[in-house]
Amino acid sequence: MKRWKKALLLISPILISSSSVAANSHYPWNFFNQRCCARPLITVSGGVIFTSDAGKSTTFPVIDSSTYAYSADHDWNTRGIFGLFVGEEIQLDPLWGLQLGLAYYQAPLVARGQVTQGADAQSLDTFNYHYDIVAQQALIESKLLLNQGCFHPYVSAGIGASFNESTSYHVNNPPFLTFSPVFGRHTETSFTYVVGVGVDVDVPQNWRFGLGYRFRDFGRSKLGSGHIDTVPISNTLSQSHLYTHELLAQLSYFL
Amino acid sequence: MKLNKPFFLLCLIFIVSSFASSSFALPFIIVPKAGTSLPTAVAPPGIALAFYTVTNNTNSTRAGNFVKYLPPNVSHVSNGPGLCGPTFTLTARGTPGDSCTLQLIVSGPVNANDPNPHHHLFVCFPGGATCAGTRSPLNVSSVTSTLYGTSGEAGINNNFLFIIDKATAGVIPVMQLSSDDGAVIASNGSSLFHWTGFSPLKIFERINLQSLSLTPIPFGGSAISEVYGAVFFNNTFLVADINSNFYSFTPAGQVTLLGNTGIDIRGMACLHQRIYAIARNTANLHEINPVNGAILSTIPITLPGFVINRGLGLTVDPTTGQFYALVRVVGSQIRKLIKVNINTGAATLVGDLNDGTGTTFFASITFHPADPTCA
Repeated sequence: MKRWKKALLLISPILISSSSVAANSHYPWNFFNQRCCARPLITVSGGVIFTSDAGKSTTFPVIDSSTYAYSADHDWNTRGIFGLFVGEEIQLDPLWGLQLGLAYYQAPLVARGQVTQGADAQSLDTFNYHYDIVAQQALIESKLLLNQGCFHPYVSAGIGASFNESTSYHVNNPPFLTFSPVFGRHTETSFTYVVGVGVDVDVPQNWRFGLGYRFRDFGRSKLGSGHIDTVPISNTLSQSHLYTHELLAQLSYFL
Repeated sequence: MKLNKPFFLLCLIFIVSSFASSSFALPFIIVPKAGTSLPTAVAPPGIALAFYTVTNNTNSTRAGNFVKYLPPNVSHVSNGPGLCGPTFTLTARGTPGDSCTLQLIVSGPVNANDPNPHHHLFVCFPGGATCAGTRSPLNVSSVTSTLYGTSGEAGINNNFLFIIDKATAGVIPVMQLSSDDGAVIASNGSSLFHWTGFSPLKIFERINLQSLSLTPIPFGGSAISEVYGAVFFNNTFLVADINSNFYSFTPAGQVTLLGNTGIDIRGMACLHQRIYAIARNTANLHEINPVNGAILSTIPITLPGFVINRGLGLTVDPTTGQFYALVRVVGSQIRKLIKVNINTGAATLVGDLNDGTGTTFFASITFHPADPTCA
């Protein structure tokens, strides 16, 4: 959290100064009079997120003579993602442009797996479990664009903080035959980053449309405290990185 | 018919997976005890009993196990040989001592589909986290009355209380009563009472069905011998003894002679303020005067296929008005439960009252609670 606040403090002067310059600027780039050209923009993103990384296998220490081994499924699951970017585009020279600003992304993910529990091999049972991870990212994000006529291939990167809410844990043990650990809701904050490539295309009247790929680390996620029936337990399900891949469509409007 | 192979395989996989997903290897296996069946009805304030066998399903001895949850209206009888105690140890599965009997008292309705897991039977390891329930949950409806019977007839002075299935005459042992010569039970609506002892009457006690305990009640007043029949009527018991004397016998133990019936009355029942009785040596049905025990009417009981040679008990189901009698027939010591038409004497056999020992002879039957209009 502290890192996030520091990053905001660092980027604020840049955004403020570039905004004031942009108010008197022209577009496209006027190289000869060395006037910097910058334009504020808003980008709305939406796409498809793929991950096989939701959830992590783990085994709890023995509880009341029983072991609980969690095996996370690593099948690919596909979900939607949306995001919003607010920033400015600065023309570095006629060939290169740089977008810099603040972004927010959110993706609902599901972690699935099997828990195998029992006192010994004779009494082992396996039940399916799943829980939701609402992954949220607040970033300082930049995009370096190459101007090729109306096409703008780019690379992008961003760093910031994630706020991943793990919730709605469910295990399919027969409710009147045995108990299995259940876990509460928890939001975990951690460092996060994203990198990507893609291409934007100018469309008339201040609009730009783009397609790209993103590799994103949503950072840590963790379920809340757990209990088996009325018996509290000290372990929970967590993972230190949640990696995703995305195909992202973006629509930008230059103010 | 030609089988569609892919469809057949799909069905097979579905059936196998359904079976697999419904099989569990729990720390305990909890099933109804062999030879018993779970009760399906209870008549508060009466009780029903349920027996489960709890078996350790692990390969190690497990100590400190306990019953963590029971359904509402169910309590655990934790003292007795072979019974699962408050905490209990079970040896590894497949070895002697790997199981115990869980005896439960059901005092009210139990919903097998109650959504709250804490309203279901769970047996746990000492930490209370490793637990198992049963695939055969109790599902008991509440009815208004239960048929009870006691042994103690034919010179075998072992008075033992049973619940009797009025549809089949099947019996479930409940508890040991104080034992002497003869045995009669009757209900006053809130409690069950028991008389035993010959010349003079020796024991009068209240049976506490909730705690399965006995409370002796001192009695006094008119001299009384072995009680042959009793019924609750207008806040007191009407009692007949072996000498055909007819008494008022209060639940507090005050005995007052009212008259003499002139015949050996064995068993009495009350429905809508009318007192009926069955005679010992003739097996006739009588209506008697509750004021002094005088015989008002007499009809014979006829049981197709049998010759009744002794009447032993009479009671009436307050929920249906159906009369039941306990009789002996020529050629058999085993007592029979019959249904009787109180107006005609025509009877139908329900079944033999037999707990399987061959030596338990029933002496008295009663519904508990009895008809409230007689109280």
